Amino acid sequence: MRRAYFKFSWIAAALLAPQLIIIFVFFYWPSAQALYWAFTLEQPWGGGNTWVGFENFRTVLADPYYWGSVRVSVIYALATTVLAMGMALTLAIFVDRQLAGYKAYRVAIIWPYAVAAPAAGLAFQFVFNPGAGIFSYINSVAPGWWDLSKYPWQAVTAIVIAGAWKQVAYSFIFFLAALQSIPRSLTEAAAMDGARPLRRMVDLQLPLLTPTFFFLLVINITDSFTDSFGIVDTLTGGGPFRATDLMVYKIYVDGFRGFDYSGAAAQSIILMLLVMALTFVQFRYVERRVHYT
Amino acid sequence: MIERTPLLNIATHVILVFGLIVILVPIWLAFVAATHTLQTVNTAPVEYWPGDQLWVNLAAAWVQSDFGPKFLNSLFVATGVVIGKVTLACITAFALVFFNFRGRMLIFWMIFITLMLPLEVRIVPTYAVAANALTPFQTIMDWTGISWLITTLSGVEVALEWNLLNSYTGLILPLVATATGTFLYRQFFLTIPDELVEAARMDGAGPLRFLWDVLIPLSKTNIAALATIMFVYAWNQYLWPLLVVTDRANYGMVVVQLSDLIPDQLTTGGGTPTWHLAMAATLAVMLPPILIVILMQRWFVRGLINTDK
Amino acid sequence: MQPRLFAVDLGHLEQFSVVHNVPVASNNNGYDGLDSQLLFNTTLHVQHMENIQRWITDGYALVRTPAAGKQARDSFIEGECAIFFSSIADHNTIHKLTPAFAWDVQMIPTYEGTERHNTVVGGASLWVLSGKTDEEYKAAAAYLAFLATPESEEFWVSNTGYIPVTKTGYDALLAKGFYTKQPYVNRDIALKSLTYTEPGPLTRGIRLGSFIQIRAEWLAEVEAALAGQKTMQEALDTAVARGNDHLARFAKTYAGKSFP
Repeated sequence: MRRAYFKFSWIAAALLAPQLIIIFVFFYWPSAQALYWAFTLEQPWGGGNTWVGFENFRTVLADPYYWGSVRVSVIYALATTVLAMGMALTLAIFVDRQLAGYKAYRVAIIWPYAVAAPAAGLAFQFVFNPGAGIFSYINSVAPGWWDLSKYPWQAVTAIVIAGAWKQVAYSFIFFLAALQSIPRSLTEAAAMDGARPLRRMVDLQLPLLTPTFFFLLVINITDSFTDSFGIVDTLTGGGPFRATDLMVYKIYVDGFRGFDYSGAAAQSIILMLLVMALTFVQFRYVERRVHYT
Repeated sequence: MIERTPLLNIATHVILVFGLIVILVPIWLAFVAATHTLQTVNTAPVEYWPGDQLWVNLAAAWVQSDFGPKFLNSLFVATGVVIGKVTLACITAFALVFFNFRGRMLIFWMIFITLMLPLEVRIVPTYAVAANALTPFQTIMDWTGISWLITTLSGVEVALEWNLLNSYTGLILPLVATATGTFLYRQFFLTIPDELVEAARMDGAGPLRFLWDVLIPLSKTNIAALATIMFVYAWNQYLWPLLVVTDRANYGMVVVQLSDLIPDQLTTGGGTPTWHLAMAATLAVMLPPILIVILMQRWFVRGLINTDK
Repeated sequence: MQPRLFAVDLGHLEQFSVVHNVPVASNNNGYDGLDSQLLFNTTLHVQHMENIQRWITDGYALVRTPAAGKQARDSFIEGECAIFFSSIADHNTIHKLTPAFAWDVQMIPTYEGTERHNTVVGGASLWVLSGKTDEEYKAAAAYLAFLATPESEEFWVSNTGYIPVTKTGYDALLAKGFYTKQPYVNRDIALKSLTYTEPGPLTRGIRLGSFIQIRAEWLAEVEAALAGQKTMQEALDTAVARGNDHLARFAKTYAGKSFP
């Protein structure tokens, strides 16, 4: 972090206190309780538990299907992040050029963010439907070629596209806000120096976007690890044969549908450690190279 | 801008139009589903053009879901979350970036980690906390013997209780307890040039004055973007309101009502999904956040706030 | 496209085993103790799943799940397939969706040379848990009694497509001629199937810990077999082995406990 300016005082303490209290009560306390289950066998309807140490972790880590779940989660997270941020950045930069009609583009790209998950889920069921949706045209040329219930790679592609779609507007909003806060004088000075629009994008806008870029990178990656439940549930249900059984979906299904609280808790710890490790690496190697003015 | 760039301009339009098509196709299909009868929606091939049932479906969905009071509840909760979040995230990030104290990296990470364990994963114990938000303090006091001390000294039994089930506080507070906003402000505060802070200090400004007079005016675009995001986030919340509110007549939110229109295969073994009503209801539910998004974007894009920048 | 014979969703384990009086698991389907082992990889169920696989390959049956684009019911309503298997609740749904052809409902078929037994109820249940006050139990009892009144039963049956919850309720509906009027004609096929024989040790029901996860294991393995990743026997063997791990874990969670 940067050099600080003010000495610690009661003001700082008072500013920090509300947030800390809230996350203590609503995050750390319940999480700690859930994590305790990871070291026990918890009886789902109350009635007690047995301490088993690391047995839950050994069971999970010895399961080849669990590693499949980790693998597809990583693929999903990387693919959705790259797709969503790439698209959002491209669109934001071009909208920011403010050509005729840019306001219409802007609204049209932003408002899908307000679409509630069930609507998006249904829409994508239509889109990827092998028999009736857009992909049915492919199937009418090559019958049976597109079938989410049969081909793992197609199921993974489907959830990646749906997941990325959900994230584009979010990233776009922040990219655009950041682009708009670049002082016009700076752009004009660069133009005066003879920098053409494309050159200004590369040399001026992109470097100034790095803090936002980093913020979005972290948010998108953590989000794709932790917030994929709805998409998997509506589109593939984790299938075919576990090809889209993402980690957070598996935790939810094992824990709160299958009532294996302890196994799910152990998986939550692993998920959290994984996301933390990834974020840490990002902070270490990405933020270090980000130069703030 | 100043120069003429016809080729680049054509490329710009091509890229933007392509992006628009990709983004709008799924929503169009959902909209079309809301304008047909159940039979049409449930039979292949999928319709690509709207039918004439939109108003019929909307009216049916509105009555079936008792949307009137639910909209007010959603509005209230979403506004509460926006205000709480924008304020809390701002002051927290301010303290973290501009104050020098030991352990500020630790506190940053403590807040940051809350991004990494979603609600789905810790839902059961979180519900328990909502039933009595003072449980953590009670337990700590019991463990450390403070309860015993108080009981012995004053004869008063320590039994803290603050039930948040079926209340606006219970709906709002846990949604405020996440790190996104804090992180966003931090990223922004880090770009504030050193000179600005030095100058403010030369003028004798204390931390709070600096925050109010310098930082907040500079953060307007960020605040607007964050407020938009948080409003939509809170409005579209599903899992948490479903758990915390059992008294749906008084505290139900609109998005939760949607779930009644789409029966879950796994929990109820089926039933008829009334997709046409569900999509019509979804359109109604989407409208306020869409309006907010459209209105707020005027604030986080240049032109209206800083014309001369 | 000419109509195929079957639309197949993936739920052919429990009712199939019960109606043929073959076990899903040892200990009389888990009723006699926590140390049960799954057995469905050794019974008629294997041949049945192999048949389904063959029907699909030969073009007699189509797999219809949400991920495959539509459910078996949709496939039936559109006239794509002539037969599908489902919950009796769909009797209600299909009436509402009014297919363009005459249709009817029947008990699930049994294989030649086997003897038909009763089937079992499935779906959501109401539970009354221990450890509450007497007053709460009184309230719970009053509520259950309310559900069992003829009026509630009729409301329930006509609105959900499910079956009446008591024998008295069923008799009352029969006496009123409820099942002779459309859209309720033949909806009591469900009751005839449920009461076809007296429940025996293998047709009382299935009582297994972590059963939701066992179903998930079965489903994932059967999907793999249908996609040609492994033979049906291998798939069911894996599902049983993994399911047994779930059972062992459940037994350990409730070590020292036994069924009431």
